[in-house]
Amino acid sequence: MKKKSIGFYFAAITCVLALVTLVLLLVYGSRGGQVQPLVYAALACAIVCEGLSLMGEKPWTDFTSIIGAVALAYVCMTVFSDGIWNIAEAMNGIKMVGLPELAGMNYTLAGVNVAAILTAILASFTRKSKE
Amino acid sequence: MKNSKLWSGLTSVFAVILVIALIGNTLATANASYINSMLGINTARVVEKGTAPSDTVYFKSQFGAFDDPEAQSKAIAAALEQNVNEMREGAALLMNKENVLPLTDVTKISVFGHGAVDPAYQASSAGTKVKNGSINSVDLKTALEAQGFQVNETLWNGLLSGTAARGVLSQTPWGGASIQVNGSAAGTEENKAFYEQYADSFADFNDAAIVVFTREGAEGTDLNMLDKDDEGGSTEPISSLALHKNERDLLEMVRGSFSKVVVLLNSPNQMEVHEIKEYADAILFIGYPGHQGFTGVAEILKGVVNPSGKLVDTYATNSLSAPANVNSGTETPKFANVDEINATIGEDERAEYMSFQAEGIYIGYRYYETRYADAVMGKGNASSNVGALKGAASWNYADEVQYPFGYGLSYTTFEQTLDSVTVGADEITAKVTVKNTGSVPGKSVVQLYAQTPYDTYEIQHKVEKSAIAIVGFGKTGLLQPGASETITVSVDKYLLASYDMTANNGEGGYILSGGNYYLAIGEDAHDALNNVLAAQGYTTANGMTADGAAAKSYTWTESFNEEKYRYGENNVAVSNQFADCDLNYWVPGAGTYLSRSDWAGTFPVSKTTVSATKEMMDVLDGEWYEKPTDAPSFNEIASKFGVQSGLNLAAMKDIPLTDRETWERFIYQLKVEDLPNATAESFSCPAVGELSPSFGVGDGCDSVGGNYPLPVKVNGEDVTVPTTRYCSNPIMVGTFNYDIISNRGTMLGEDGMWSHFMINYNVGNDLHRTPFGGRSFEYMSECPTMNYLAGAAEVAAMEKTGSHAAPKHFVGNDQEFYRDGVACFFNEQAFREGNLRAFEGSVRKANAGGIMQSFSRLALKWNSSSYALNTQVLRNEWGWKGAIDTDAAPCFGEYVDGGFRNHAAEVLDAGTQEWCLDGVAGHGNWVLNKARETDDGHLLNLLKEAAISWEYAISRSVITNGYSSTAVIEHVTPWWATAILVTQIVSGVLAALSLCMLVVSKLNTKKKNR
Repeated sequence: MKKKSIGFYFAAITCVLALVTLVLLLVYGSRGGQVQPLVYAALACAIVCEGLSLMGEKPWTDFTSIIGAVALAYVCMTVFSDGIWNIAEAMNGIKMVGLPELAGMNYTLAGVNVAAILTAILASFTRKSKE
Repeated sequence: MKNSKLWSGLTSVFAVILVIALIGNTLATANASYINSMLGINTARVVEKGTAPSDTVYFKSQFGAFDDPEAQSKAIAAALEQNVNEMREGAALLMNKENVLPLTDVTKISVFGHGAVDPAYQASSAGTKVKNGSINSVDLKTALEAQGFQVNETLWNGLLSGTAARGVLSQTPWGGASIQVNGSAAGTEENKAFYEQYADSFADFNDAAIVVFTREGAEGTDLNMLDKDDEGGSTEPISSLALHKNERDLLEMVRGSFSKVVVLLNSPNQMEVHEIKEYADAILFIGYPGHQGFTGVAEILKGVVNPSGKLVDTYATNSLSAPANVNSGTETPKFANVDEINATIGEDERAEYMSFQAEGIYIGYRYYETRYADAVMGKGNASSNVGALKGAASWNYADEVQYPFGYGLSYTTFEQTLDSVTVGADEITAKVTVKNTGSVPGKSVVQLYAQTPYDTYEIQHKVEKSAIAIVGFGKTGLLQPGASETITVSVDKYLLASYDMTANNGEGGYILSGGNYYLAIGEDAHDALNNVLAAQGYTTANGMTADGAAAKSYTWTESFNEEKYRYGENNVAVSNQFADCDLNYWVPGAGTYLSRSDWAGTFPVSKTTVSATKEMMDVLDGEWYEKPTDAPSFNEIASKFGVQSGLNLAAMKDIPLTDRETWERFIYQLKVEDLPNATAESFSCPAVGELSPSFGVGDGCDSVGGNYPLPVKVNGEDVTVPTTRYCSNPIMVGTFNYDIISNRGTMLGEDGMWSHFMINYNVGNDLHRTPFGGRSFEYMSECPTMNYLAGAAEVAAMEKTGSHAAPKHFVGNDQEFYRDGVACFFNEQAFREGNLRAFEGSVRKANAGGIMQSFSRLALKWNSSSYALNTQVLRNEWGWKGAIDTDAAPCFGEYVDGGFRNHAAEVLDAGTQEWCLDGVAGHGNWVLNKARETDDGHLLNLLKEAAISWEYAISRSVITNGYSSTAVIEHVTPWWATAILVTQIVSGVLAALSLCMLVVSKLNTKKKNR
């Protein structure tokens, strides 16, 4: 695709951030962090949807952009929600029912995820290729 | 095309907001109690429907009305005064060479140690958090300057910019940082090069050096038994309580530069002090000071206050030398077949670690002093080098122990005389006259100890005995030089009884051994034992560390008696309940308990671990509830509910629990669906139907958390004042002063009332089983009898206020490492005379309003699932009626049956009635559904019983204030819930509209293109 537009780059950045999220989640999960199977499914969905956007402006691109953003929001909130005790305990310096040592990863995951959601939203406002 | 992008983008925005709101709602609902607690939202309000009586404030503060700013100021001041008094009388002076203290004529001082500028005011756990600069806090420098000391500013400011830290620095991606305590002492002190930068400043401030050493664990984190040293130090693991290289270097430097060196131990855990003694002139144990404890420290250093505190733990030369260390703390072993256990029952059952408590009753001084007595008497191979210091040819008390339980010096001297002892049928009374023989005023502690017979019967029946055990104490007022005071100490004879698993034809029970009994006063446990040994004819020729004074002891004879304490409350027989907690019950011969009949042959020298058998895993699995065959049907019980009787909370506040009929009529007004809320304890507990409103609870042993209700002006701004953080419990109990201990209870109750807390999970009765406990600062001592006595005093006072005391963690939460699930194996004598005795004063004697249980397992069963513990002992033997709560068991969104903490039917059936931090009643609702689905009226009955216990506690609390007999409860939806709902609706509608517009736009574009 020779005539890439700004949306293409937003979608590309979203793809990269989603892939980073995937890697972080795999590490997070291997350290005991709670990651529901549906989160991986949603993340895969987001990567595919945003990846399709890289093919340029198609009739369905608007819809895949929306689905990608929604899937990323689901990932972000679910991981944050499941890790809330890690954060709460880290803030209070105690270890009770969560894994406070993973709070740093929760922060990082949330940060990367929020960035991915923002770029996904920007991608859905913008064209992926010029006319 | 442009329009389609607009609608596409807007759809994304609104859809993302909708997803966030939907999942956020689930998250917020699951954590509603914390949100409401943080925002100060009450989800139910009391509305008067009739003519209210003039005064419905049933529980009043001693300081005045709760809406009176002056009364609040008085309450705050009294709390802070209590905090300082605890340090004044609880700090223990351990060493004072050539009376270097008090620093009467000293003015210019240098203060060393990272802990000086970054002290542990408390460790991480519940309650108000104090740090430098917190409102009402007093740091060390401020306290010293208030006493006229001039502090070396160059050094102080240098320390403030140092890099030492307790724990691991956790950096967030965007620059935030926090310290996560990890139980290590490495890196907690600045190194030699750091201090050398400031050497030039010492000369002007060299009247004395104050060195502060700190140790800090945390909730969930024990101190490391095998720690790493500072850089350049030992390459072998060392105890985290031993001096680390930087600390040793510091002491060496300070000793070389100052003529007076005073070390402050800012640690509730017993540091290894033998090396410190080589460098220091004086050592003062200060534990954790809370808000203003440093004021008391400075007053002691200056001599404004004469120290009178005593140690409540033994300071061993080697912190790892106690037998309890072998299978516990950070060295707790795993089951030998962990993989098989996890594969069989699942990792979520948290069944990996096991702690075989080989030490039996010999915890703390009960080990060191008993072994000493046997070594003097030449019994039980006590002098063998098994368990002795590394390289020692024999076990020698003087080498093993630095400071015994009860030790603490004064700036004056006292003479104590045992005037008389009266031994009655149930009580012993001792009168002791104390005379100040020194030159300055001071207070003196009278410590009364007992020795009970250990003879043929006890050896044959495996009844272990401590050679000395504290049974009572008292404290004088401020005695002027030459003045005297007579202290009367009364002792419940029950404290002399031993649990004998073979008594009563094998049914078990408490016995009074037959033979000679001894009482003795002493400066500490060791001194008292020496006095007993002297009465028995032993001298230094037998290896005693000093000749005792027989005149300070008293002896009498008792006949063997297994009847006297055969029955508990309500005539319930006390009998063996914990046979299955003995490892040998499951794996015969797997564990050997320490016995004074053979120290060398029974001292644990290596970890004990076993492979869990299938039968063991079946219990570890936590699932065993079956509907009783005679259980009533669900509808049979449910049909009794929903019947109005006109009773409300105010009407119930004077109805005793023995009036079952009235209490049931009160509860039966509920809808069955409301019952689970009576099992939902959290920082904001939900309303229970129309019977009781939502309210908060306090949590924390040295502070209940919470805030005073009225803001105060600080620098022109309104500031909310948190409740006071008092001294750590080893300081408070170390006062050996019932007035101060009781007043702690009173003030915690006041704090609870001003914070409008129904109950406070705040009396730390667990034991310092080892010196490494991460929550030793919250727990009282290593001695169960000390905890019994102090706990009873604190709880009794607190229960007189309108905010209940709830001791924790019932029972056996003696370690933080893998506390959630660790399987603790023990024998019944050790458990009853140790862990249970430590709680019995608070719970049975003082009738605490509630308890919080422990995360640990009694052998294979989670504490909360033990019927023997929670029903047989607590309810039946002890006759206790309070509200009984698990440790933290929040539901993450939706309750999932199975997994550690989540066997709700088993827990409720065992007698546990509330789930901690489960403000959404996930467990209770699941039980209700199970009861309905399985037609189990028994479970429904248990929910009803839980509601009675809960409402009974509420009816005796500050929550009833303002509640008349014609008042009703109205439920309130918190604003945040409404906000989320509105967000969901608006974003959902806008997302749908945007999507429609996008489709329309697409269709239009398609049409145009055609």
